[in-house]
Amino acid sequence: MKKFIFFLVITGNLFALTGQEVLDKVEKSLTGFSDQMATCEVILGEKGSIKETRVMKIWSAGKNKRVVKFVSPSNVKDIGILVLSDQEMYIYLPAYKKTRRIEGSMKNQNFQGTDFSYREIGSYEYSKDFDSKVIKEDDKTIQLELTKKPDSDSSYTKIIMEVEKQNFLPKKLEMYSNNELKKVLTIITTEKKGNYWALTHIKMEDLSKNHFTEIKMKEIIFDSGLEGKGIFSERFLKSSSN
Amino acid sequence: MKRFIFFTLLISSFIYAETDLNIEISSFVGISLSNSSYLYNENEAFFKSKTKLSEDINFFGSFGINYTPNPQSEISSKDMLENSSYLYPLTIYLDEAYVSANNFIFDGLDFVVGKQRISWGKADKINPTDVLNPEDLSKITDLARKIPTFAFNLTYYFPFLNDYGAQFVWQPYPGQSILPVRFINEKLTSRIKEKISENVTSVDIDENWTGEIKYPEFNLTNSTLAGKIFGKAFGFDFSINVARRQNDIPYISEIYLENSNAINFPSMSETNVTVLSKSYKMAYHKETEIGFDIEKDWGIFVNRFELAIFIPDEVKTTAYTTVKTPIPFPPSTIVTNITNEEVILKEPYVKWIIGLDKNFDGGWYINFQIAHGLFMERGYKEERLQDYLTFNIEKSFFDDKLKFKLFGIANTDNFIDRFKDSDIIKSFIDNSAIMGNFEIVYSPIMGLDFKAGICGIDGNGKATLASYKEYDMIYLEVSSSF
Repeated sequence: MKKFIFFLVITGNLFALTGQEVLDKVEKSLTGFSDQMATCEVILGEKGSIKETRVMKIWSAGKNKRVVKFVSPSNVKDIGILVLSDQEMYIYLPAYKKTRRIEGSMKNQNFQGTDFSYREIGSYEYSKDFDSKVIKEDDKTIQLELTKKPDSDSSYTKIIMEVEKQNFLPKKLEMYSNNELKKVLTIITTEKKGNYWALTHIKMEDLSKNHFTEIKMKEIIFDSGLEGKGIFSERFLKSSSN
Repeated sequence: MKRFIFFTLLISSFIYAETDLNIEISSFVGISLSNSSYLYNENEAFFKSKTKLSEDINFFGSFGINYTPNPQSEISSKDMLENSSYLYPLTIYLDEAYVSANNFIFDGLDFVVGKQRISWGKADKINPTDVLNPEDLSKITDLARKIPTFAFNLTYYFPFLNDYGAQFVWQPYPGQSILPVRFINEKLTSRIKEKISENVTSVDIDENWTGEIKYPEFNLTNSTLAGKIFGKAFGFDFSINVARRQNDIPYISEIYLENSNAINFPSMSETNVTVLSKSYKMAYHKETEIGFDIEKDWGIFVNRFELAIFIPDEVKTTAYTTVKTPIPFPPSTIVTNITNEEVILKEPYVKWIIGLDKNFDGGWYINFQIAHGLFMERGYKEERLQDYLTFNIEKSFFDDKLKFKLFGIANTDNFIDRFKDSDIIKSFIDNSAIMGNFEIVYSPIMGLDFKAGICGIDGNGKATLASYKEYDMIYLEVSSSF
């Protein structure tokens, strides 16, 4: 019996996932689809009270390609960004009818008054910028510590990510910069749509500003062949037909 | 009856279609620092609508209302009492109205027709290649304002070549810029004075000219045609364009002068000229423009370069001068009529701009641009191309609610020429101008901005900005969009 228990412990440790493997599974569960399209309600608030509500649409494919466009209110309508890679980002300003290239380093800055940076909005890619290790594990969750890679330009030095074992979806992320907790991302609800999981209600809090942004996703459509439809292009970004 | 049916159909189509409405209101007051007069008192409202007529077809409409009270000290009682425009100087105008169709006729072809603002050129706000949107130079704090024009605008995106395409624009009617006319008078006065002064002792001429303008005839030959090819290669976004058009800034085609020459007899040592009457006529000329622009993100900043070569048709100014010279013996007046013709535009000239911008962590933003040839400059004498350095530094606080902006322009009347002078520093001082603009923007909620700023301009010689010296001011602006 002792031998059997010893065997179980040994094999259990052997089959325990490494931090990188857990992170890979998290990314796969969040971006396993070929593309995604969603309408989102964006709620901006301060000190616990709601200040503003907006509606935006997000189109994404893979880990990098994204288009984000505001639908309402009317004073921000049609403002949008197109992300093709880390070094290729565009913003469309309807007042000037102009698409402007924005520098890659701007991706760490807040997107249009929200608490999400350009890098974070609609994106869940961490392994490119962070090394991962498991720091805590229980029956239901795994806690990862993501440490910034030396060549990364992320504004965070460390992220503590709590992952649900059942579906490898993140529950909470604490983002640190030089050991100071800057932002907290809480996944409030998740939903399985067909073969994929979606984070349908998330909340990002900026602790230094006491400001928060909630995103509620609605009308999520997966795998609709967005790349073939020319969605990730300046033409689509400028187009007013969506 | 027909009109009634048309409007009923139009309005009902908007009711049943998906329509977004947006209203923008702004009020700008600029107060002179030298004499407390109102340099600007502009109140504007735009009513904008976007109607989705089908999946690929949209209609945009924008009406502008401008209220600019400009009380005059002396108005006839008849006008004051009978003409309401003196008390309520309102202008209502169609800003934009166009229909845009994606995948028009076939996939990849986008078509926009109507009065529209067309994006042309990659540089920040100042675009030498933009020959499609006439400039509105009426507001010193916003010299990047452009006027929408009626156009047929076709863009074709090549299949299998992502983001490569060709654009073709036809503007049936040439557009005209809004210009600060007193600068034309000022420059013309200086030009005439310089010309007459060559052979005389003194010239008495003021800047009160009377002028007429001859607009281009509305026919096919005066329309604007422009084409552009755009794409991406090696991390660069680029476009090459060509346009044939009527330049939207008029030139002085004819000058009429009546001079009185007082000659010191019998020595004839002095000739003093008094200009008795003066007027000019203006017209528009044709030109061909060939340009290109590139844009690149270098990782640490974004770089933009834009260059336009202008090849003008030959343009002449004809001066008709009547000289009246009184002579003592026998007492009489000799009247001489002189006609002078001068070619003022013939040679090609090049305008260019290079700039970079960068956002920093902590809410900092910087933008620098160096330009050769701006505004009304066309390469000849008073309109010769000048050199500019512009910078814009911004710092945001409290999540963009509060913003400090420092904008400046250093302008010199030909940078290279300054180094040809023996005293380079003096040459720069005598032929340069600077403008500084500090602004505080407070945005308590999205769509509502309060601005307060101070703008100072100083300069000497023929530097273009030196003409704006009287525009030192403090200003307040409130704008809202909802």
